[in-house]
Amino acid sequence: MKLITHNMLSSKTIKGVVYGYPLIIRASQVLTKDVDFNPEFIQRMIPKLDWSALKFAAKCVGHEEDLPDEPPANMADEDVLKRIHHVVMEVDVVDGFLECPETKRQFPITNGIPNMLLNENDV
Amino acid sequence: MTFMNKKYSKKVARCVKILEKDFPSLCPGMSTDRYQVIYIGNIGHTTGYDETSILQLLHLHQAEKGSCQLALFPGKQYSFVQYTDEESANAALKTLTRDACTKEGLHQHSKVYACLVPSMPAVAWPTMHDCPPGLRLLEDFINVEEEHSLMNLIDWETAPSDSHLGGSLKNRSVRHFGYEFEYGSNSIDASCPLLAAPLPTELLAIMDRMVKQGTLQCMPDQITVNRYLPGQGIPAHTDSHGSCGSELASLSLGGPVLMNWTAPSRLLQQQREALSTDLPAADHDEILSPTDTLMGYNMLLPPRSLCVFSGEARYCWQHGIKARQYDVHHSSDGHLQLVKRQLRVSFTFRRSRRGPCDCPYKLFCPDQQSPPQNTSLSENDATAEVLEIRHVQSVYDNIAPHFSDTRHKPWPNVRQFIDGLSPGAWLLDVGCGNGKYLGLNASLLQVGCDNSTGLLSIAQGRGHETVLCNCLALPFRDASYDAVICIAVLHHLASPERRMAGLRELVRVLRSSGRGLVYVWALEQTMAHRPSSYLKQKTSKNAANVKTTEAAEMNGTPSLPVHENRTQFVQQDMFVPWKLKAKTSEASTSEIQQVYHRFYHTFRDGELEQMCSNIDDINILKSFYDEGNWCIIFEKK
Repeated sequence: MKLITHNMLSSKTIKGVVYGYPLIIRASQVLTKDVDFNPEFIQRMIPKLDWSALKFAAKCVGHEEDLPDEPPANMADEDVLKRIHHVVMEVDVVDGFLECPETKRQFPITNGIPNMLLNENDV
Repeated sequence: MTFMNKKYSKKVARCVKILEKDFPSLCPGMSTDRYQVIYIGNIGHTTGYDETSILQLLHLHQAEKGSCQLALFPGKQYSFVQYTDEESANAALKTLTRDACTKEGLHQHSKVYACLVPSMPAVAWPTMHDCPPGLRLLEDFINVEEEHSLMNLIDWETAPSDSHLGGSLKNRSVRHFGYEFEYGSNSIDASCPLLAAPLPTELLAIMDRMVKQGTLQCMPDQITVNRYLPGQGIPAHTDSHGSCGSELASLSLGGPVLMNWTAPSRLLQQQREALSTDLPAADHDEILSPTDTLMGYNMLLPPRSLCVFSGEARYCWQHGIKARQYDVHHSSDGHLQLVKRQLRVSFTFRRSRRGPCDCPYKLFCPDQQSPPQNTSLSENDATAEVLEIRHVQSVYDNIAPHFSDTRHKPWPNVRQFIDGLSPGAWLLDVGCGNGKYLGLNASLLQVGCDNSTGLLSIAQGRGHETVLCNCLALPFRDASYDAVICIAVLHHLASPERRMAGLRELVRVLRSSGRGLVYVWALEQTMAHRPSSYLKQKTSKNAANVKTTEAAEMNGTPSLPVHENRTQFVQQDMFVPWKLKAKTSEASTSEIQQVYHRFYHTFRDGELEQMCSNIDDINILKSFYDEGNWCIIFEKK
């Protein structure tokens, strides 16, 4: 699971959960996988990101320092774009779990795939 | 250069690359003859070496070990050895290099690459927590004769008559007695005893011993037997708080195995403080701190031992067994040992219970945190759900590799939709299967989801970003995607309400002015006298093999007709067979055909449009028929 995917994930389909966002990442294995850097792709992505959720995710996996506190105002700064690219596209949570911030229900991440299936207690 | 030499130099290059990457400061400089440390590539924990076997490789006996110092790294394929003088180091290097070239070394299967490096790096093994409170290991709880008879208690070759009694899981085989231990939720349903599988009488004496000796407070009424082949394991989990009693015991037979325990350290600290001071626990914000880190504890479970979980170890820690061939064990004298996995059988003893949990570990107890949940699926909905689990989800898991082999060519109109999205758009593929629509357009951000683990693993393996979920509960925020596609999915939902709910979920995750594309199978397989490609694929072989049958009731799900493959549909709701050819054994060439029945609701002309018109916040942009499917493109207002 890349951090970009975490940016959209929510546990709000659990009964009683209001936001279920952002999910807490409790990683036991985090890898960095090379992904080609495409500045335009990142420029287009930034306005769509929930920046505070991204900062939170980066903090969960120990990459907080790689990100500026605010979305960059200068989209032409390739160095900043590269750092964002790294955190959002290359940092990959391979093993661990995601946790609903409201119910603490845990969702395992195995081989990079978050298991968000609910059981009857959740619906 | 011979082929073998070429291969060897390739391996050497890889070893050097790994050294450069992990220890940039250690790369050999000019005056290597003054170094005392050797880097040994391809010889490490992940290639099956421990201290003893490396000493062997260096032609050293245990007694001579004092002359050198070894460093092994967790999860790495290399090691280092440090000598007290340059001369010994150079001699050892010559020995290693000679063995590698003449292939007369002890471990000819691994190509050794060794070189001198300036210094010995520090080994960082993860720091381990002390034994979790409440965890006890009773060695030699049973004797060898008892172990032998219990090893042969289960007939693993014969699959159980009912899946509730056990079966083969991804990474192990399992049998349940007394009650089913449901691994999805790690719980026992106390209202459903397994009448066909009472507790084996052979275990009664052992259970009696547990209670009489005070190991357990009450007699277990549930037993799960797990069989692990070398390389197999069990994911980390905590047994359900509410449905299992306050004590669990696990009896180990066969080979030893390393069990891992993990717990979030800060949360556990808070829990301990709350218990020791009797003060209410800290407020929620503190508890949910994302900076909490997991701490771990490992214990080698020897054969014939009983591992007892109570208190914190039972309620707060997760336990699991890594799927691997070797365990790394810190022996009592401080050495690292590799323990090769062997066949292991474990018997887990539990006591079922009813009602919400009342354990003192409130910060870890799901029953004492979330608001009471009082919802039940309506009876019809429950039937539909069971039908989907048995006749959609589990079928796709079973046929995943075969199904995936037949699904590689993207349908042109779906490709056109994806190609037409603006660069940078975020696309979600609901029911992505093997991921054949992910990655067609590199300018998009693409995520796929599916409820079949088998198919999803294939998609993930192709480098796509995937999430395991049900399409009726998409785990995404509202309005998070610019486009969503849902190809050949809604027709697997087994009631009109569920198909509508599936469509609403697609709309929910779309942003305003985002677009959706939906394909469902059409009841009408012939349009304007032209048969669909599905009908055209009918061959004489299919025709000979398949007979139309009126299905009897299947596994307790409603009776539905079974469709004859590659023919016109006679009704909307039915089972469509998937025939899986499997070789009966490696030696035999005869193939048996396993038939799986998938549930389908085929859509009538206008049905999908009608469903879309029930949703206020979308406009239908295009509605069309494509090779036996009804298709719709809509835009969210």
